[in-house]
Amino acid sequence: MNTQNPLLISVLINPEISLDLNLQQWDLLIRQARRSGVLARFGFILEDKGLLSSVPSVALKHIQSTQTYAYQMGMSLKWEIYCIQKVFDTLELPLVFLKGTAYTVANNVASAGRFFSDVDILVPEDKIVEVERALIHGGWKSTHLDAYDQRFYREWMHEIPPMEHVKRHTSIDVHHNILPKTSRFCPNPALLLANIVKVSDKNAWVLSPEDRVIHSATHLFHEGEFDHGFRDLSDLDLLLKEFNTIELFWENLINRAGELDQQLPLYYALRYTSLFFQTPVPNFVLSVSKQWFPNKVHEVSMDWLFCRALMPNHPSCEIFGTGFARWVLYIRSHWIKMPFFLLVPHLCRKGWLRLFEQEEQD
Amino acid sequence: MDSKGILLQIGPFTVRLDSCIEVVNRSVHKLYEGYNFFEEKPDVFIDFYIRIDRPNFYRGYLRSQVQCYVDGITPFKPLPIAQSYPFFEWGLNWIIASHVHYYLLIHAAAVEKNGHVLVLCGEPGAGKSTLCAALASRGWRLFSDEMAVIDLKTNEVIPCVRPISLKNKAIDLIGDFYPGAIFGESFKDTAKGTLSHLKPSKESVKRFEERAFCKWVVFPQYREGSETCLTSIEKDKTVIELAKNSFNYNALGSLGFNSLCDMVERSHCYEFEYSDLNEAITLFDELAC
Amino acid sequence: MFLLVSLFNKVKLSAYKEVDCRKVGESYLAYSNLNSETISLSYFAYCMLLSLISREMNMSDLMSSQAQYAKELNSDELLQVLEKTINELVIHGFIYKLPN
Repeated sequence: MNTQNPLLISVLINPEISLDLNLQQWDLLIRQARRSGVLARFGFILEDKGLLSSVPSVALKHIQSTQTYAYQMGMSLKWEIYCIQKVFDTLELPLVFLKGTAYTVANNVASAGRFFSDVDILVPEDKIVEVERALIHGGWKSTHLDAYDQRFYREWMHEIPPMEHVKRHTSIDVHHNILPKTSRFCPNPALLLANIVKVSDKNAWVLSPEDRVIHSATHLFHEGEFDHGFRDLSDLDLLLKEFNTIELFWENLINRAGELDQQLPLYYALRYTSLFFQTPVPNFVLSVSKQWFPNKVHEVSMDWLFCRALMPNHPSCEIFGTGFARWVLYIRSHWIKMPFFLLVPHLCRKGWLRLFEQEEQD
Repeated sequence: MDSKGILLQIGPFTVRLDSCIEVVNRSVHKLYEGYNFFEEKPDVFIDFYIRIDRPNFYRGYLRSQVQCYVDGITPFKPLPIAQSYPFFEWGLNWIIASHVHYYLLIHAAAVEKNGHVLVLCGEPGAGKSTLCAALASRGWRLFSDEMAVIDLKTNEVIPCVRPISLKNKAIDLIGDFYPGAIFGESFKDTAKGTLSHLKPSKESVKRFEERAFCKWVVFPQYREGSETCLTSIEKDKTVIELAKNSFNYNALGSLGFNSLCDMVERSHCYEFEYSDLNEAITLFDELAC
Repeated sequence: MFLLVSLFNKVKLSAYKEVDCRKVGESYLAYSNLNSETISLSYFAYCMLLSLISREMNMSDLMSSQAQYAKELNSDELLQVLEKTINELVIHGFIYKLPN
């Protein structure tokens, strides 16, 4: 990216820049980072580079404030994991965590300073009923009790309706795949489950490093809402930098993308982490991934869209067309997840319900 | 639309307020008179950005509503334009409670006398703001009417002086009690009834940086016709009750727990029932001697 | 009684490391960083929690160390109080049981 980078991106690429910022620039930087959900992470990056002690105190207190909150969220997540493990003690199943929870149990760099909203787990589809029953027994209940929503999730999606714990009000998403059944390129979940890695002496498993990257890429580049887009791209950047040291990681990543039919999302992940964060993706990997996307016109249009949609979600980072780009990608995300005959009625229903919510607010 | 930004120091926070709504600017200039106002410059760091404005043509003009934006987005539902100024105060409460995890924040009033702080903690309707306003008008220095701010490192209470928000009967009551009271405008039909704001004393504004330690934690309850009665309560109950009334206790973990325990350890803790403001003031004045 | 205790010794008790407890005035309180619970403790429970924070213990050891804080109770009564206290602390997420 050689257009005027938002301050946040420049400082994430080159943290030493922070030494020369005045207070007004720190003010803007803190706000951009906070809105994007990376303020605590930014603090850890500065600490890692030995730059935290040079941060002016007026700015530092905001960073430390968010880190305190993120730490406490991490504690709550730990407790939630204990509680879910107790439920799984009654089943004979590995407890496979996905996304942010996976980064935490696997102690990935991407977990430091991260905020969590719910826990995501992966189970075989034929065990879904058993798992759901055990969770209900453990104090969770299903949300989305509307008949349409239940059918939407159970027939078309890759997860059952989110479940909420009746006392703690925490949420768990039980997945049986990483993409909806209705998606054009739906991976074989048995392949993912065959490669899981145990990360603790307790029942805690995660996807293999390559699969963790591919899942993160799949999730982001099928996504319709980009409030956390920049943060998710930053997750990818950190995962790639961490796994770079694993022998044959890049080769395995390329092969795996083919096995799981996720070459296009991986292409986007590698392209946009390189553009935004200068992630050190080896040239041979970029060349191979480019072959998955030979259409130049399509590439230029997707660049236009994603370079806007993935920006930090702060007004100071918006450029001409950002709102339009996010809207187009919202439609696209539904388009690639659902066939036309399901998509149209679904979008109509969503729009209709939003209108009702709006009127209720009034 | 031309927006006139107001930059000022409110307690330990620097705030920028932008609004095209005349009553907001007018009220801030009246009620925050004597505060440090400043200009936007490269050596200025602003903690919070708040904007009170009409959201769009439909809501703003046809439905006469305003919205409160926190650094460009809003977590709130729009309110009638007549409540623009209270919306600023509520917005500021929200932004402090959601973002500030470098202090312990308790939903309580705090006033100081002879170097010691009295923290008044209670449910809405218990009468803590009225009592706070009365004490502040009789020689107690106002720290805050709604948010006791505790330094996590030193355990001191930090002043966050703002106009005292009074509702319904309390407005007339304090008006009669305190002839020198300067009020902002009255805002009717809010979710809490009629609202008005009492301007803080020049002294409390001037001494906004002077901190002090808590010496009394009191849970007041106004009850019509009751005797003035102060009853000791156990410290464990006090900690648990204060934790329930804290905006960010759960976000602070052990830091918050130990901070609260330290504060209660050093304090005398009471439940307080009253119906007569004068008797209440006399009792607290005696306590402070 | 001996049989009961030997059955109990199949289980050890430990406090989560994210737990804090302290005296405030004449009262005792505990806080769990994991689930943000703050609870009031009796002196007996406070001493028990302090012991379990410092090390894992089985039931016999716990009974021996706690006996000094409940001298007025006989063994059965002590066991009852101990079980009740343990249950409360487990439910609130301050301590947990593990196999011996």
